[in-house]
Amino acid sequence: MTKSAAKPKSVRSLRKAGSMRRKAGEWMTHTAFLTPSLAGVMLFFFLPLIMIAYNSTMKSALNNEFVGLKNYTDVLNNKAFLLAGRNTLLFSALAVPLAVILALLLALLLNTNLPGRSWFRSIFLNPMMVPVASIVLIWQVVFSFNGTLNSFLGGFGLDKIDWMKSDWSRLVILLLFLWKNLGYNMVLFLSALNNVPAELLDSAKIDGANSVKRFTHVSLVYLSPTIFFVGIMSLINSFKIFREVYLLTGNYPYDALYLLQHFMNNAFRDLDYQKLSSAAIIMCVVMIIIVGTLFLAESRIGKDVEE
Amino acid sequence: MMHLGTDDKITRKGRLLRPVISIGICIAMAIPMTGCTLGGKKAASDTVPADAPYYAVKELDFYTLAKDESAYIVSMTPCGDQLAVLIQVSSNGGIVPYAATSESISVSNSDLTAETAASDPVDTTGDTTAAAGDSGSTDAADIITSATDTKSIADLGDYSMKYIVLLYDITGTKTAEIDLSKVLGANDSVTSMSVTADGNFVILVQSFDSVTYAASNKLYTFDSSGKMTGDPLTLHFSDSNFYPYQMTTDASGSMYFGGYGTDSGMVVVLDKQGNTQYEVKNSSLNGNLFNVNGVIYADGYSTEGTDNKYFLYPIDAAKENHLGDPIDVSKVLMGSAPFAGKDGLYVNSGSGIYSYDLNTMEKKSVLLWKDTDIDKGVYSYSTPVILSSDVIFLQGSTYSATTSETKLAMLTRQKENPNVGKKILKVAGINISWDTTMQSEVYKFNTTSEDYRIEVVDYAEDFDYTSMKTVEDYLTAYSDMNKKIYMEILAGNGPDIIYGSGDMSFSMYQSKGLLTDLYTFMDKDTSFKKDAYIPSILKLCETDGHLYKFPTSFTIQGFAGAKSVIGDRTGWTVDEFNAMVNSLPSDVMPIANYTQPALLTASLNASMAAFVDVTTGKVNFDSEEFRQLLDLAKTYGTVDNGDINNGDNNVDEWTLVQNGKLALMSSMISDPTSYDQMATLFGEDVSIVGFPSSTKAGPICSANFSFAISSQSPNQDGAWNFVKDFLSEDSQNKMLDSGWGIPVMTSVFEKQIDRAMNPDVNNGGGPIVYKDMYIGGGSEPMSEASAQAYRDLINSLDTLMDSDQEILSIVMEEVPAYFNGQKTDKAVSALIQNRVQTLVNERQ
Repeated sequence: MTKSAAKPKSVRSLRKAGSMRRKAGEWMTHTAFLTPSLAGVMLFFFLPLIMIAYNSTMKSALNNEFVGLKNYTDVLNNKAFLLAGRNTLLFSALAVPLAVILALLLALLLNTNLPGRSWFRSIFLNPMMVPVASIVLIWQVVFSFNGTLNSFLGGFGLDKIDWMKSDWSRLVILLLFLWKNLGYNMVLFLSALNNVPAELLDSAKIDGANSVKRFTHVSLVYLSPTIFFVGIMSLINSFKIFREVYLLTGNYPYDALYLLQHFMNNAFRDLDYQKLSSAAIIMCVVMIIIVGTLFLAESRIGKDVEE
Repeated sequence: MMHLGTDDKITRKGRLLRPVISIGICIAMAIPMTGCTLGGKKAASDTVPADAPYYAVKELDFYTLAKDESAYIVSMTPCGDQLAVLIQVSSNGGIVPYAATSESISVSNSDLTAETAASDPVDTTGDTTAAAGDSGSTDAADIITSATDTKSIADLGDYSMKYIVLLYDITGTKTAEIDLSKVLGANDSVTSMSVTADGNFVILVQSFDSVTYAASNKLYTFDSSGKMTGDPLTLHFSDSNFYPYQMTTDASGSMYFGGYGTDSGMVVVLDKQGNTQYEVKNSSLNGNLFNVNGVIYADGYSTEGTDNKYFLYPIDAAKENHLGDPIDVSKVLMGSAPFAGKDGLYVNSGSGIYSYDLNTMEKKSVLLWKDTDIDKGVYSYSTPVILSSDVIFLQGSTYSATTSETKLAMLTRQKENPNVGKKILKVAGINISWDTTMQSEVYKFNTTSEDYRIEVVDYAEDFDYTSMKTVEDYLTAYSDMNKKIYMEILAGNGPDIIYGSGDMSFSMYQSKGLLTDLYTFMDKDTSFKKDAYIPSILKLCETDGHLYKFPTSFTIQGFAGAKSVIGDRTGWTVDEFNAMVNSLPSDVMPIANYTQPALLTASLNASMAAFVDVTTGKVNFDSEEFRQLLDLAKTYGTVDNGDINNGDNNVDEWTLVQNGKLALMSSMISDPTSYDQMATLFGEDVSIVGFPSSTKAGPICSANFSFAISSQSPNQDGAWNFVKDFLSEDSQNKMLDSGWGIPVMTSVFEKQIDRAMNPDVNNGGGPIVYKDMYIGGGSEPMSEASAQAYRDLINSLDTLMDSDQEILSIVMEEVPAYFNGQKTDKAVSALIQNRVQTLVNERQ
């Protein structure tokens, strides 16, 4: 009995040992595959982040005296930083929804049997292929004080407008952003629209749903992951608008165009590491909150779609 | 109690292992962070290492000058294992030697007297060859003055100019002194000297016919003992306007002459007999030749688009145009003066002598100046001769107000470095390698200090001039250099002393806490007398009671005007300026030669504090005060056409003032004389007044070169010792002799005034008479009244140059729209206010 009882235990034990070895092997394999990317992320992301956080609590680059949150309070009390933060948030708040909604509308338009729609798709993608420097050059020619647009307006007897050095500059940059990004967003939406099950739309139509209801109750639900993705991409791109603004207006533009990246770029140029580090950490925290909120929203909407 | 199965155990182990691995990675990453923390302060001093090379300096016995003689070196070249130095000796007599013709040049040295020289001159009409030919190979004894014979050329007659070749062996001993006067005519000038493959040296002589002014070229050959071999060879060039000033020979004996022809730089190649082999003409050629390991290169500049290029062209007889493929050396040699040497192409740079491999452009150091103790203030600008990697010859010059002296030195590598263990003090700056005053101080300090050794680090050493197109390019480059200095300080490798003029961002270093208050050193150093320096300058350089930098000299910029016209003042508002203008006759200009942007910039440099309060962050450009300045600049400045040659259209202010057509003369006062000239020019008492501003700022005081000591230096006491030396009376006196500017030490400042009051020109005594000078005025020595007015001016200085380039660039970007009438002054001032406010807020 004892022997017979011992034998099956031994088999079970062997099976368990085999299973353990297999799982350990799998774990090692996963670890081996993950280690390079993990090390890369740690080295190029977490390590600099830790260093930035460390620097943001030091008195100066030459004086490693711990000053707590003083650099953060200095930055948060800095009028230029607050102006830059306001401008950046305002721009993103305007640009991202417009970039999503207008791109979706364009996609819906081009998803119909519009004559020449393939041409339009190509045309809307063109701004993506133009280098930033060329885009800036075109915008300068059009919107400078002695530019094409003012010459055109002058033909109607209108006064010149300093497009880039007045409150109009926000509109100019918004147009530039939309012009540059709508095409890409539109293609993403076109792709997503093609993935909406036709049978569902047909059944809804048979059930008497009109085109608006079919869009809001069927298409939009299936588009929600794409809307989320396009929203995130547009948000990231809205921060990247600094490149164009910088090339158009330099380090110190008209105050309506002064963005967070101006603040940080200038701090970097002036080798003010404490100010730069503190601003970067604050911006990082804000970005985490915004993206986190978007993820939460998406997961709820996504859950609805899955259900 | 829950029993864990094997799978659960594995999972638990995995869960335990993962955090352990993560923590391990974090620790591994945190370790390098300890090295990444920015600190800047050096833990300990750098010292001269035991294996550092060292070159001893031996000043060589040069030519002994007679009274009224001066000499300069025309050419130096290796000649076998000797050094051949060709010098030109001039006497002040100005009498043409060998006025008549000569039958022979065979004049025994012992027989040479003024009488014989005058009665036996060399033929200058072209028969020299025949005459020399008659005598055959001239006996060396006839023309060589022994090294110990100090008989001067002045003893030979009343010569205006003569040429001597000095030979030195590898120990630096002068072995021969060959007087070429005996073979050269009065109208002969030696333009170049070269050494042939067989060890002879040849000199190229150009003669001008005193009647027709036609030039002819002859070649004289001497063996290494100084004996002339053969007859002078008369050279014939197809281009009668060809002026050869460079010469070299190759292994086959072909002779290459570089110079300028009728239309361009050219190279002419002759065979041994003087027959033309071929000519190389190219509009880009400069006419300089480099014999690099037997290959002859000609240099040239060309423009590709907006890029200036510097090329070396190998001379190649086989090529159609006799030029091989050009080598682009713009990045490594542009702006330098390369020279060919024993083993390649060399450059004498601010930090040392370097050789370049023309195939790889690899740069190798031959000698670093920090490895020797030579007065670079004396031996700066010469082309060295590299006899071997261990023996280098240098020429130098000393200058003072009335004299100059040529010097020759030999540097020999030593087995042991006497400076091993000395603490190294780094002096950093931009373009400071060529600052002779500073280099002389470094030499003095290094040869006297037992504990420290100064090393000069010039951050513009590898400046790429080819990439510089605009003023902004230079400003950006200098800004980058300053950042490099700052980054090196952060990394713990920064300088101990920062030295420079407008290129150095002292304000940036100060704002980052990198500079030490010099008052702390001055106060605790009992040997230093702070009171010995001009109080107004000390005060101007202070920041909140601290002295972070201090100049060695300064200049003053402003307007000069007759007191009867502008009143006894040092500053004025725009309204007061306009009132003065309104009082002028209609045909009198108030100011001249200021473009609108330049006038506005100068006004802002003097009154920036009125528009930007750095403490509170308040910006005041959108104000009537600034709009008044805009209006002033627009009204009285000339239109800036953007041309760098804008100044070509400038009017002659001197003449206008003399004719009573100009009320204010723009003035840069760098010494008492330049102040006194203003009084002379106006013919009455003058006021030196600042640019109009709401603060009534006085004339602007600009520091020429300033010092600062790094707060991160571990050797601050040593650094202070060097700075103190530089500010000493001795150093200030040297600056007075050779430099430019107003000294900061009161006693030397007074000495400068005394010299202006008691001028001694050319050792001849007597007053300075300006009426013969270009200024046209006419003046006696500075009067006591004028001297006192000058002292009062210096003591009343209240405005230091405050050039905030970032703010100025915003202002200058916006104001053209107002100057050309596109925008109103209110629109422009509001826009400037908007942008500058952001900048100032950012700095808070």
